Amino acid sequence: MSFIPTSLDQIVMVRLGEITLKGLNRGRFIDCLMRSMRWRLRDLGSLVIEQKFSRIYVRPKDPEASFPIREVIDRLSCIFGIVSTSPVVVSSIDQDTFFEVFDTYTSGILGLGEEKTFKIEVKRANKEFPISTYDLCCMLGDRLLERYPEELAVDVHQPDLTFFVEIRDRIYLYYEMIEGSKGLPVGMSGKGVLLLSGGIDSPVAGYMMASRGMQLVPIYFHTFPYTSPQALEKVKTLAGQLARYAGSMTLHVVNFTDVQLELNRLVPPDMLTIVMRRVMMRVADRLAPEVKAKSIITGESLGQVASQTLEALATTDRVTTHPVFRPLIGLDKNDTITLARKIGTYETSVLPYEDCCTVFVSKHPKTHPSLVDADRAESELDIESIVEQSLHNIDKIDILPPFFMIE
Amino acid sequence: MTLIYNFDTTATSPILPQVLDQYVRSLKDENLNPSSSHQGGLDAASAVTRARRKIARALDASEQAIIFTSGGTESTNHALKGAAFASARLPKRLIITAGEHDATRQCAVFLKDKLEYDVDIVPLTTEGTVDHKAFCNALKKAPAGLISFIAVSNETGAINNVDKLVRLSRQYAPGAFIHADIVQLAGKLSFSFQRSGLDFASLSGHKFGAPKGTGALLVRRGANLVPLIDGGGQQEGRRSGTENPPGAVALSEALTLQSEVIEKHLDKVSSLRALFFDLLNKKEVPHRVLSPTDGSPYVLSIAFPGIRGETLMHALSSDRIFISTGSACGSHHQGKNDVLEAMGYSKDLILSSCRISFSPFQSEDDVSYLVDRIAENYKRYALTM
Repeated sequence: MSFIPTSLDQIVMVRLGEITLKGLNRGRFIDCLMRSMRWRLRDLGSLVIEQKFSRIYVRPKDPEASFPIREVIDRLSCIFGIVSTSPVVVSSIDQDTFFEVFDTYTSGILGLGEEKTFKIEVKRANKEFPISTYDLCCMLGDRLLERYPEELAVDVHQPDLTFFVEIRDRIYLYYEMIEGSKGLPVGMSGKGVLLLSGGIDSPVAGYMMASRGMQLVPIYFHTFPYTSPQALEKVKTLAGQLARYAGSMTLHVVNFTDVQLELNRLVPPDMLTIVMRRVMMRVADRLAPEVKAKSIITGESLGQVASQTLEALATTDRVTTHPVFRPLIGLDKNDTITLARKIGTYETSVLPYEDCCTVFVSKHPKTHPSLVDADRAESELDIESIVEQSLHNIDKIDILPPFFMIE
Repeated sequence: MTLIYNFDTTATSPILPQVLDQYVRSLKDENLNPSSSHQGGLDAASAVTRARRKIARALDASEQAIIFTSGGTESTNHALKGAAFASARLPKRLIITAGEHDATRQCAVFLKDKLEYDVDIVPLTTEGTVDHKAFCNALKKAPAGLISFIAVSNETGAINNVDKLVRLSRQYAPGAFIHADIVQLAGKLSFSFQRSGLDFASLSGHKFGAPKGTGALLVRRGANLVPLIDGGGQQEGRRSGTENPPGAVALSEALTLQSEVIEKHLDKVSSLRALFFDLLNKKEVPHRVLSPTDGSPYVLSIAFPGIRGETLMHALSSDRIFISTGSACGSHHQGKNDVLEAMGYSKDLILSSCRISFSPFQSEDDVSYLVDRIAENYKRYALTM
């Protein structure tokens, strides 16, 4: 990071994408986003978060107070609805003051003796500013070239460095643009029950739905002692990593051991996984109204394993009343892994703790079960009581994003 | 404190009350820097000297033989890497066995990758001990510079014949340095370093009642080692870093106490182990013993077909009974245990294996509770798949 003179106080500029295109609902989207920003930054001192036109600005209430700008940006970058952020310095609209600020700011970034190309980009939203966009670009460019005749050259097509100048009620100056998570603010698209295992796929599926504004209610089926306490810890960690993006959530842990043993006893081995999935879907389906969710989310991808063939998916869809979202359905595993790495869940997902799918797995599962096969496989079971039993054996665990847990 | 049933004493043995007293006393009274020249420093230094003397007596070694370390892993690293670095003239060939602890295995990988050593891994017999014939063949194949073997297996309790292995080594590789991992032997079986003929032996305090972070490397006079840790030149430059007087005191105290009652403890542990089998058979819990019959009674490798070692371990854990799995928990390779594999056991058997440790500090009631809970959990969780 370059050295910015401390006399130039920096604040954070936040750009919004899709939200700004919304019509009458726009206010609701922005309120939701602002709430989420306030909550994420609540422990970072007393901050002012204000919206002006299509931008949101974050600054410390007391300009003298310390402002952990990189931490603020890191956290904001995880909020859906934010397209990008920049640390910016603010100058009054007065020309001479601005030029002074410009010189100080740029000298903190340049002047390191290395050759660079640059470009100045001016956005003159405030038409009362007396210098035209083009003239200002030239003036600022000349000021830089005068100071660094050896090191700098102009390149308007592929510059190493772009200085952005936005002239509004005040003048904002910056050179970095940090990509945000885009999408829609979480909470604007209802809730979904997320079937969360310890694997790679389900956290990514949750992330994708959250990026479209859906709030998540993760549910995990715990089969102690077949699955270890570490496996549950792993799921909690994954939920925490997901919460960086999707906000705090309540993890529902179903104590599934007795049900699993009963399935193991009464279901033909080649149909065990399918029936287990159907039971899990039914439990999620019944949990949904209790937690005010209107959908179910899974990490299934077509044809990935025996229980994810078209026929297998059809048998699980049949037992639900809510829409089932499978955002990874057409995604290649490698692309899912890339996403998992990007959102930081991959390293946790590959930790080697058992989940029930690996202990209770048949060597030769049926890959193309018909609905009749599925119903027949369940003929010995009292499905209603199994689902009831599962719903009565749920522990709820509050999950916060990891940055609040550190303390 | 919640009552626990520790049947995982091979991993860590409970700290002995007398040792704890001495440790705390030393932390209070001798907590100055042994390198300082004032009276406080001198007192701390003499505590270390006294500890060294006691350890020497307990293991029948000279005082100069003892280097205090942080434990078994450091000692093994020091011996194998230090000897390889010290003797450029040594043949670049290391012989280890398939029964080694990871510390030895990983040192072998280091020597192979970084110092271009050839590494020979001698197979085990079905009893879990080093195959003597194969050991001879490895010695005869090409001159060896370093030889390392485990004295008592931490996985099965199999006891290697140290005298025999040293004799064979000296016969076929007279110039080689010999290291033994005596971590599961020290304090549990009788041992004389002088008479063993070994060049180096590694031991760890927390395996016999001293705190973690204590241990020693025994070095025969004349066996040169390059130090792995350089710094202030403590321990005659052989292992820098401020000595740990309370740790040394605790280590010496634990080793002395245990060495005085080796036979008594062996009898107690053997009878607990026999009781375990009696009760297990009475309850008719299907099992298969993977440990050899003539091994250390402290360590038992046993499989319960139908239930994974990990599942049983977790189930017992919620009854406050602690055992270990045969295939290390959280291992990337499910059903993988190099030592049990080397004994020829199948993957399924290894997956259902666990390691139960017996110790003189358990009671017959503890053992009976253990068997009850194994029987209960077996009935509840064993699967027919």
